[in-house]
Amino acid sequence: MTEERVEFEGIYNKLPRPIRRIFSWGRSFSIWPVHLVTGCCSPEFMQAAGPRYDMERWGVLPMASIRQSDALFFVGNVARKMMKRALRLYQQMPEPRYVVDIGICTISKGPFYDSYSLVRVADYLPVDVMISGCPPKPEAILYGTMLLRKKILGDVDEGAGKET
Amino acid sequence: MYLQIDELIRFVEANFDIIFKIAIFPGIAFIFGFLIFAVWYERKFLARLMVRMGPVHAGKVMGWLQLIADAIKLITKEFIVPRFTLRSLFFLLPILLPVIPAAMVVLIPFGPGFILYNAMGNGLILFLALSTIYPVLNMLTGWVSNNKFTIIGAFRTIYLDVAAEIPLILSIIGVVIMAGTYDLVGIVEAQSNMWFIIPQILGFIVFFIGYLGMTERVPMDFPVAEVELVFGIKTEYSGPLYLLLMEADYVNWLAWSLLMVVLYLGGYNGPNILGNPVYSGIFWTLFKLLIVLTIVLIIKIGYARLRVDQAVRMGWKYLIPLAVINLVLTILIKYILNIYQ
Repeated sequence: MTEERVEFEGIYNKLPRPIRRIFSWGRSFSIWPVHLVTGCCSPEFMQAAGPRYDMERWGVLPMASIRQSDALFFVGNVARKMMKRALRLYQQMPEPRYVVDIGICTISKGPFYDSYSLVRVADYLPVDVMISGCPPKPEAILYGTMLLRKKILGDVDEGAGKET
Repeated sequence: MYLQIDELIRFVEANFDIIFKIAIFPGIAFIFGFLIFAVWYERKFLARLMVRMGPVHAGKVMGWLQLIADAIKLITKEFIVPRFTLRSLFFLLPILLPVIPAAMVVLIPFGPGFILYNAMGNGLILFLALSTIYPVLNMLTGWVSNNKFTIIGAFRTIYLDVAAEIPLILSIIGVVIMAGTYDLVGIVEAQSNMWFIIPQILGFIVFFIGYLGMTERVPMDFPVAEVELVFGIKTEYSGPLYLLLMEADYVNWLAWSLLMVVLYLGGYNGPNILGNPVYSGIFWTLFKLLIVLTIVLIIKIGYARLRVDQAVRMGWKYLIPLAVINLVLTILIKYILNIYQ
């Protein structure tokens, strides 16, 4: 670690519930993702951010820099060498931070199930939302961001893929 | 020591005018309100130009709570101090940066007689003097972060300052000669018959390009070039410190846009539509400000980013000669008019 960190989460967990509710509302409506283009699901993400499926309706604004962002989106198959860089990116993110898998390759290697060089993201990082598909449609990516919003608001059980 | 309520009320009643100006209108509340409005307007307007919706769901109606949500998120986020930074300046600069453009806003006349501080008739000089501090502090934010991207961004800030500010000030001298005063109120009063954009059209072109450079808007936004340098001079700032840096950017934009309205677009001059000349003056100032912001946003959507050397070459090779030609023409016109009067 090449930086010192000021932790706020311990303080926030002691705050009364209505104030935490306001904070989580603000966080849920302003998820700024960085999409780490490791594979070919990237055009789907771009389409989800583009005019037709416009993620910014829910305040999801794709950012260029990891320091100002909230969520790390893995887009496509992650190789072993890429994972080292991704771990470093994850360390550079400020708390609260979320990780989202897009595409079956990041979840279970998918068509490359017997590959020697690919890894699963969930083996290395705490993944919040997994969006399946090869590639997932832009609607699926939008639905994944909605699930992440619900998780931030505390409205959904972990792993439950159904509406609440 | 105890607070004497009666004396406090008497003090507020005696100085209500100045306290209102500091706290509400050209002062603190207006600047924060402008921040929230301008960022929301930028995101919404750019989205509409890209045939998108923009923020919709935060706050139900047009996404008006979007910026509140962003502010809550950024304030409650962790901020990271990288090792080997200059800690004192790393924390001090984001607090200091928004103050200087805010001090520039204070000098602007919003309506006839509605000005917070007229600097004893030297408002323009004080404005330009304050504006020269801002790029230096901006450069320091890149330098204290101790990162290769921020340091390249810091160099680019200085290039941009050299390329944009000298032609900008040369073009402003034309306005000063036309109006015959350094007082911003006097400059607005001198435009009651004709806005200076018509006789000073060459100077206005130079001023507009220099203005885009000084506010780091799109054709010349290379200090914060998102795809080349990660986030330019702001790369290492996160959470509330980043919020303060963004605020400084937008207050700087506000100050320079208001200066353009005052120097070239007639300031508060306009038909008296609200009955009271002060209210209608404030209305016309803000209306012209909105038009300037919209034009800058349309330029943002339509143009690519210049290279650093292109911008510096444009500044020194084309803008400074244009500004000098404008200056000579202004002096000639003024001389001829003086002969025939």
